[in-house]
Amino acid sequence: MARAVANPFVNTDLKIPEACWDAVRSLTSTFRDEGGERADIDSSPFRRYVDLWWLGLCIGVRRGVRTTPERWHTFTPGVVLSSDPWRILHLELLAVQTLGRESLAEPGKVIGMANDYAAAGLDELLGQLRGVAEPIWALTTFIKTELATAADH
Amino acid sequence: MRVKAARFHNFRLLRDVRLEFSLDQQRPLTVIRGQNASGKTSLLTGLTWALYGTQGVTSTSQRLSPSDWADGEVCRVSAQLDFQQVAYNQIAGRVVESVVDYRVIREVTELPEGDHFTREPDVLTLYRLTDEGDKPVSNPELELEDMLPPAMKDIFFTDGDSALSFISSQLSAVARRDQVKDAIKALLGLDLLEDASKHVDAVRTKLRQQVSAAAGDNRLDDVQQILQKRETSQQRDEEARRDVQAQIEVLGRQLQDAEAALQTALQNGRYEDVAADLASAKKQLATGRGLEKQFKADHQTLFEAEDLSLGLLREPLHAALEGLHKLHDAGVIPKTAVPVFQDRLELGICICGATLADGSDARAHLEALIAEQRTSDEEQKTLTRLFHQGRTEVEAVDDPGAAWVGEMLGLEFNRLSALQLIEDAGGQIKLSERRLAEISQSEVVVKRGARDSLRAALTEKESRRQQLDGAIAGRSELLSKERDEFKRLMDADRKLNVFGGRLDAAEEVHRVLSNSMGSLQRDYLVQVSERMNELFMQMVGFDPALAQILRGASITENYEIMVLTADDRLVKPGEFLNGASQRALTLAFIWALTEVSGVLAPRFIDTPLGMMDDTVKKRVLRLLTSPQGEVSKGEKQVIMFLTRSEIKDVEDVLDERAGIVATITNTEHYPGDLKNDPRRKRPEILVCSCDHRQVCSICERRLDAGAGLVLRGA
Repeated sequence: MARAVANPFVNTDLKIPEACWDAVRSLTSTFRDEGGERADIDSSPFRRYVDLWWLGLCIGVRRGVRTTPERWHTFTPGVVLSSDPWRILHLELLAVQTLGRESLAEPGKVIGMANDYAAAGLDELLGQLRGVAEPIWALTTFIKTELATAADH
Repeated sequence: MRVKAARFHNFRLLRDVRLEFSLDQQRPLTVIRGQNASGKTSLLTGLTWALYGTQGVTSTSQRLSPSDWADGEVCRVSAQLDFQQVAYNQIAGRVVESVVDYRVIREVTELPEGDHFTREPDVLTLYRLTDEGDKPVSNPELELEDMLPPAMKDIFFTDGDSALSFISSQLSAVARRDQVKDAIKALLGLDLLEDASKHVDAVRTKLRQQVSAAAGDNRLDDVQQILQKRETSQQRDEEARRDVQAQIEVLGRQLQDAEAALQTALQNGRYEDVAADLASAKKQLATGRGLEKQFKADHQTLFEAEDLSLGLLREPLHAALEGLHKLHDAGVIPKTAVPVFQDRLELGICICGATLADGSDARAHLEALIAEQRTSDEEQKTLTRLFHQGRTEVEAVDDPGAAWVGEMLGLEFNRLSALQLIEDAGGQIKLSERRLAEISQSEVVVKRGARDSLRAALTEKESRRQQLDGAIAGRSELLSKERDEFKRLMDADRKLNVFGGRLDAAEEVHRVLSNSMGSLQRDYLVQVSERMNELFMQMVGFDPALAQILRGASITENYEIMVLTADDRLVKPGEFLNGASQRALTLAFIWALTEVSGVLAPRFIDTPLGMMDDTVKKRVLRLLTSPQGEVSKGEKQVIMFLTRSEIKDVEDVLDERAGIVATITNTEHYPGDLKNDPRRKRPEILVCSCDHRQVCSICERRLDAGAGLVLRGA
């Protein structure tokens, strides 16, 4: 478990492509609760938008693809990353690896990289879950396959 | 007896009707075709009236003359029947048939007066028809009674619907039993034996009185009176015992049924147990749902787990850390100087050994170095932090992807278990709710109550039987002693020898008659029962569905017609068989009676094939009309009154078995049902010679179109 660290990304914004926003909302319990309906986890397997965004980022990083859509939707400020300090560590390490160590002084650049990775990964992730009766199981199978591939390498 | 022809005049709507009957032993069936209310019942009634008079008519309050006969005008009603009496005699070792022709004419006059009528006593004339002319027979009533005893009327003149009363559940068991018993007794002429027995009993009593009177001995008189009273009591108790025995048998069967019904109600399970099962299942469902909710939340949590990110980003994270290791190896990180300098300041001595006391140059130099380091780049700091964190929180984690998958697999198993728990509980809830719905607590209470009442009634009857057995046994002993005493007193007086001898003879005759009656009844009962079963099973036994649940039919010792189920239960036919099978059973009983009796008489039956499908109809018809020497036993003449629907689908059997077919038509059915105007001034029954495949201008009905009937010239 990561110990608490200062969050350099508090003044940044986490974004996803506007075109994905509806799909992201339907897959997230947060949205349903705001609407007053109890979310069925099997249909909305992600607790928060940031969780889905992070998984999209992971897929984008694995594919080595970054995408900058025409229109973004800002869903939350970077302060949300403080609730999972290990994400800050992972982001900074990614930035060192992808953008170079000097990027650590530019949190905006790091989050920009993260948003681009997430945009690319979400496209594939949402495609896996579209039209499925119980997305949680399709998601589980997809992730297990990815981890198996990661282990092979 | 064989009937040859009948003629009616003004007998209801049979204003002028003549019929002939088949005498062909190979085609022994005569069919009178007629729809409902076309005169079939009138014909049957007319025939029984001809033979039996008013006792042959079901209701003597009904008039015999046509309903439209003018009030105040005398109506002469008559019925004539030509028949043969057949006897088979052994002559010189050969069986020789002898036939005598008779004609019976019964006439009566009626005077209708509005709703009432006056009827004179009917006049019966019986002629013996010989080559020398028609010779009247004296005592025609007695002659006819000998030829066809009145007690047999309902056997040889049968209405298909009324015959069902032998097994009808609408009648009490006693009534049904009495009907069957009377039918068997009548057929076997046991009434004569009974009458003889009663007569001998009266003679016996009278002789005893004469004996005691002739003795002039009070003692003998006393003994005779005691003997008589005791014998009367004994007869009364024996009769009562027979009734109680019959009641016990009925109660026994009812108790069996009640017990079965109670067990069925109880088999649905005790209410309390099933309710407990339901509560337990609901609790299990709640537990399952609770677990499912928890496991779903756990499942969701796994998608935000650190191990998942470590597993998916393993490559780039380790690559980044490799770079940091290089920096570390190069001494670029960590930045450890400041902490070391600060430690030395606190210790007051440098690594090189120089003092770092306050005010010393070395101290000042060191403090200047610390200040300089603190203002160096944040990047180094971050990199250092990343290095240290990365080593402990990324590199040190062994195969996080596998750990995540392992945790997910465990969760999947848990979710599956919870789903199974929910499904099982749901299934148990449905089952329990269904069983509860089936169980009616009050039904169990009612059925238990009914069973207990029957048990109590049966116990009471058995107790009563035991009482009677005791009384009968005790009295038998006393009777034996008193009879011995009576005989002894009688023997002592020579004057009484004559009466004594007669009394002895009367006692002996009475004993023989009683034993014979009992034996004959038992023997004939068994014969009728067995033949009835044979015929019945031939009629319906082909049906595989029925064959699975039915083994046969029999008449019990108490004269009840019962059916034997596949699981060896005797049950009432009225409650077990469908309508067609019930009808078949009553026909089988009646036919068995007529065959076992050996009485040669025509068998008239009105609408016997109602409610039967074509397969059963064919079987019944073939069985009942089989020519002499085939399936049935003995000579046969069968006259059936059949409707068109009864005839449908058995035309081929009639082609084969019917020697004569005629059709009767009620002119009142025009214009509703009849196609052609019969042009009669008054309503009446008309006869035509159309057989079962024909129609004519008299009998053609509107609904005959499309029935494939051939139009015959009238």
